[in-house]
Amino acid sequence: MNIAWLSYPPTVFWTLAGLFALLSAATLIITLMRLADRSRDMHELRQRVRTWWIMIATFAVVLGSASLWRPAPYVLFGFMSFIALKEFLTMVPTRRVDRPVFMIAYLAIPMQYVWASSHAYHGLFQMSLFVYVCPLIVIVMLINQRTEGFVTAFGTVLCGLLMTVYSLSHLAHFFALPAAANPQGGAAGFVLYVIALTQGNDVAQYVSGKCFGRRRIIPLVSPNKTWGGLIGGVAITTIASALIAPYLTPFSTMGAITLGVLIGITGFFGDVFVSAIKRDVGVKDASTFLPGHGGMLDRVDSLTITAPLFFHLTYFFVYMQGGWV
Amino acid sequence: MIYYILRALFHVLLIRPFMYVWVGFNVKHGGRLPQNGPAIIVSNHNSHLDTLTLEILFPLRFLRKIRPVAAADYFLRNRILKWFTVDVMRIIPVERRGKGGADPLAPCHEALARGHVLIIYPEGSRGEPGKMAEFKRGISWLATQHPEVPIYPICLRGLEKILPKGSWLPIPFFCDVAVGEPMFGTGNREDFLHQLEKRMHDLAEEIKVEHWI
Repeated sequence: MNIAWLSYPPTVFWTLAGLFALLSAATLIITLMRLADRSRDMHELRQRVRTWWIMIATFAVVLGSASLWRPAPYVLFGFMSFIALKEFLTMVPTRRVDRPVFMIAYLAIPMQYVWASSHAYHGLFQMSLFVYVCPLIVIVMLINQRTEGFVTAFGTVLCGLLMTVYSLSHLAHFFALPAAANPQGGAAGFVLYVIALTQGNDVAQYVSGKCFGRRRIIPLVSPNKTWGGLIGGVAITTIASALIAPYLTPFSTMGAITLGVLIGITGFFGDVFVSAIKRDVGVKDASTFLPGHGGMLDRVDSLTITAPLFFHLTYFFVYMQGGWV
Repeated sequence: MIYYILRALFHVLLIRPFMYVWVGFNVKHGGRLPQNGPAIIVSNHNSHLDTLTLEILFPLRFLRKIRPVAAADYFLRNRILKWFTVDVMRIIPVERRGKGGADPLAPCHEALARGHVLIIYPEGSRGEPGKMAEFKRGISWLATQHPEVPIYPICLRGLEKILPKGSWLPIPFFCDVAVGEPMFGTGNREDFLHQLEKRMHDLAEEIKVEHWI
């Protein structure tokens, strides 16, 4: 399927079209609600939906350009990592003496995404953050000779790199693996599948929590999370997975259901993970980069866990078992 | 005109991409910013990036009206620096230590009369990172002599982490900007300065950022 220079596998094209239809419906409903009751303050909701439009449009353009301009997905996910890491390093306590360390952490982003861009670098992609970047950071910190807060400072940078760079780079690495392993959707199919389910899971848990949420699940970290929200969300995500997996992925129905449950549950923990960090440092939103949503970190929170998990399951069960790698 | 184009290009090609992508900032109450000159912007000062940050809060066409007020002894040190600061950045150089006789604020009066927007750092210099120093009195003189000109306190936080005094490499962090309600000069200079300082401290409370530990 082609629109201008953008080309998509047909199933990916129709999935994206479905997402745009959903967004249009959301915009329409909000407009009607506003017309019906002008006194209601819907500023935040409208901003949120407007930002969804921009995010999904950007994502759609990048997925479509990947065949013409190969670096497109690496640039997009690398940029997302950069913004998220910047938000992380801004909100956590840091030491001035570690400024060079942060520079190394930022420079690790282009490195990681270069490794992500070719399957030949798969090993480097997997371990160079730990084998090369971490020791380099330790060496610079030792040269600085400040031992107060040493462990905390090192742990902080490592946590930031894991959460924002290592995890998100897995989404980009799909584009470096043989596309033939997924005859239906190619790399774009896998990436769209995991992102749509993870983000949809966030929305589903939120809505389901609003409808059936009573018993709090983890009140000391995130008081708005309820059992009703989690169970309802996981159920919706699992059904959605079973519905879209045949179009976007080569998974069997059993596989799709398992993945739906896994993405639902681990997505929940990713969300709570970022909430715990924000609660620890006492901020509400990581930044205002995505108006209506907060920061990049607030948006990709669930992906920090679902993306690498999904990648490795797919790598093992599809690429390795299928003899593609 | 040619310098205006140079400055606009400098902004579009270098400053705006740098500030939006490499640095990144969150603006609180951006709607309060003045739509027209004359006006005075009063801000706390911790980094060379402060002026660039205040400038990019405004649309590009506003650029020719923005005049940072800066220390003559520091920014006119040599010819290249002077060319850059006076001609490109359009600073208004003022003598920090009055040489007696002429009013050191005369160029400020002239700029306000022409409808320009002054940027003034009443702390005098970049000072201790993240700490607000006592305000100098120049701003209260300007305020009382131009009671019709609105004065906007703007608080900047986090820029001292990106490019602290004495450092040359800007490290990316998000910074915070809070724009205050405009104030007007009153007859009482002491009182005005007091109020301005209080307003600035209140703004700083609104955007508490994580500081170095």
